[in-house]
Amino acid sequence: MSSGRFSKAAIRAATQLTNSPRLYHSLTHLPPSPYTATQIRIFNSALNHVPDHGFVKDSLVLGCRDQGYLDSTHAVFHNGVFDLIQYHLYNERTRLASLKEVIDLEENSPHDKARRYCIERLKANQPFIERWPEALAVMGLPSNISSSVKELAELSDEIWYLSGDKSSDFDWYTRRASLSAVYSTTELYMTQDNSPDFNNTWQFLDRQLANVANLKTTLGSTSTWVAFTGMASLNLLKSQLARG
Amino acid sequence: MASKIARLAGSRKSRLPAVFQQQRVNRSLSYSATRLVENADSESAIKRPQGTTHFGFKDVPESEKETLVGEVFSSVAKSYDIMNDVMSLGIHRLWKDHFVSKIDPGRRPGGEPLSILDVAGGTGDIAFRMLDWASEVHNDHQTKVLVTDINADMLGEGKKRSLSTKYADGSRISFLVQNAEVLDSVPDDSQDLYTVAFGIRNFTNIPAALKSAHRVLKPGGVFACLEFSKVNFSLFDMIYQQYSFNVIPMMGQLIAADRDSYQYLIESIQRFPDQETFAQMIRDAGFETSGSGYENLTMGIAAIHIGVKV
Ligand SMILES: C[S@@+](CC[C@H](N)C(=O)[O-])C[C@H]1O[C@@H](n2cnc3c(N)ncnc32)[C@H](O)[C@@H]1O
Repeated sequence: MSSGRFSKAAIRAATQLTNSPRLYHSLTHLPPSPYTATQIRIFNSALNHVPDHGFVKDSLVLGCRDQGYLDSTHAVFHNGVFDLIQYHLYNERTRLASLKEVIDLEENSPHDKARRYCIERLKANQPFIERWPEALAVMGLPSNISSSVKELAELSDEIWYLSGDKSSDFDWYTRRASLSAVYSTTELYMTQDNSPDFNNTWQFLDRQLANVANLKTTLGSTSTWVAFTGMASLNLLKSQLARG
Repeated sequence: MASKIARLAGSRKSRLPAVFQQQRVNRSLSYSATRLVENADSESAIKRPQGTTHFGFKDVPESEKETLVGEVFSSVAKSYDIMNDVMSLGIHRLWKDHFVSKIDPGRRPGGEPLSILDVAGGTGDIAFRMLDWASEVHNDHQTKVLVTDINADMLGEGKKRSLSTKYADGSRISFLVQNAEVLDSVPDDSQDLYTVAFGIRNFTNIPAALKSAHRVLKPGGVFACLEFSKVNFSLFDMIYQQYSFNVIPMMGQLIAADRDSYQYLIESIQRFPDQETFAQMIRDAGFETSGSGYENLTMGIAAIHIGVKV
């Protein structure tokens, strides 16, 4: 009996070890898409409705309708609109690998490449940037926060990996934590940015990236730290939204 | 009947602790030993002689099961609500509410009212909830539910119940005796939503029922199932098994003086496939699922499975 329990714990520990720091090598072993063709069609249609309706179930229902399904079809998505948000996050993260050729040509240092990947990823939120705080609020719900933090860590890993930074200044955890922090704060900043072409956001990003070197000394190797930052900023945002 | 229920409610406080104590002393050890053996043998579905099916842990000829199941539910039709309370630790109402809010039924702006089929609907618990949801959340007073069940007594109770609701005129709710495995009076491609709550584990041939569900749903229609499931946390599982095997039959006896029927109810839960296996059965019937295909409720005591006909 207890041996069964131990072995389960051991398996969990072992998988955690092998899963860290890289969950996969994006260029060589991209795992198959977790979405069916039907789901992809519905999600893509639903995202078109987000600017008008927001990150709410209505957008998902309209996506089902657009694709010739029923209003009831939305129930297949167990996490409701969070499934739509996760689809967008997954899609845009895995899209970054397709930019590698161009970015390798156009940017020189790993730092510049990482900056460029951040910008490309942030730009993907542009079509519904006014609605993005709603998405962040959903991501920050207690039932969603661990998936959200995990996705953020994967994005960070992906960007470091694609940027080809082999420097040993940072261990994986520190790099993951620092880029996650930079990305999430910039993402939040972008939702409030009215400057032309989001110029202020890119400047904000540059200042954040410049700070990364200093973060090294203040950070432990910790993803809890990321979770904390993520949660703190989301909660801050939620209280701001609540105040209107 | 009513007086019996009242008596039970009054007696719960004083008698339950005694039940627990007696169980601890007399039965728990031998029962847990039996459970381990039965768990190890849970693949017995494969070894079962041809033409037989499970009735709880007893194998019976398939032709007999339907009658046996019918008897179980006839004998408990009026008190099974209390039984549900006991088996779900009192939270089946929360699960049902969650189930209905998750499928979120009702006509939406620019959309059509829904045709909903509630299978193994019994006394209409889920059906009334769905109609209330459609009316109150979507201001939809047209969506209809057809409640089907193999047992006319259960449906009779439901019909009686409907007379004291705002659906008394029968324009939004109707009742029809139907075997879920066949659904012979329900046309192909006719339903937006198929719900089955705490019913499917009683079916003799679950794949046949899933096939029928697929047949009657419109393309894009949703199959939604709420059912007792496998607890995914071993310590809690042990406690729940003790509770369900020892305490629940005793409670059943108190409630309906029909220990065998309740033993069946509990054993049918134990025999029902785990979440992953059932999700695969749903896909095998032609449905598409999203993610794992299910959501666990209360550490897996129950689960909601959803499939869509594409
Ligand atoms: C526990 S009750 C659930 C009733 C209701 N859905 C609820 O959640 O309150 C199970 C029901 O399944 C019905 N049932 C069992 N086998 C069936 C079958 N083959 N076809 C249709 N209904 C069946 C029983 O008659 C009983 O009413």
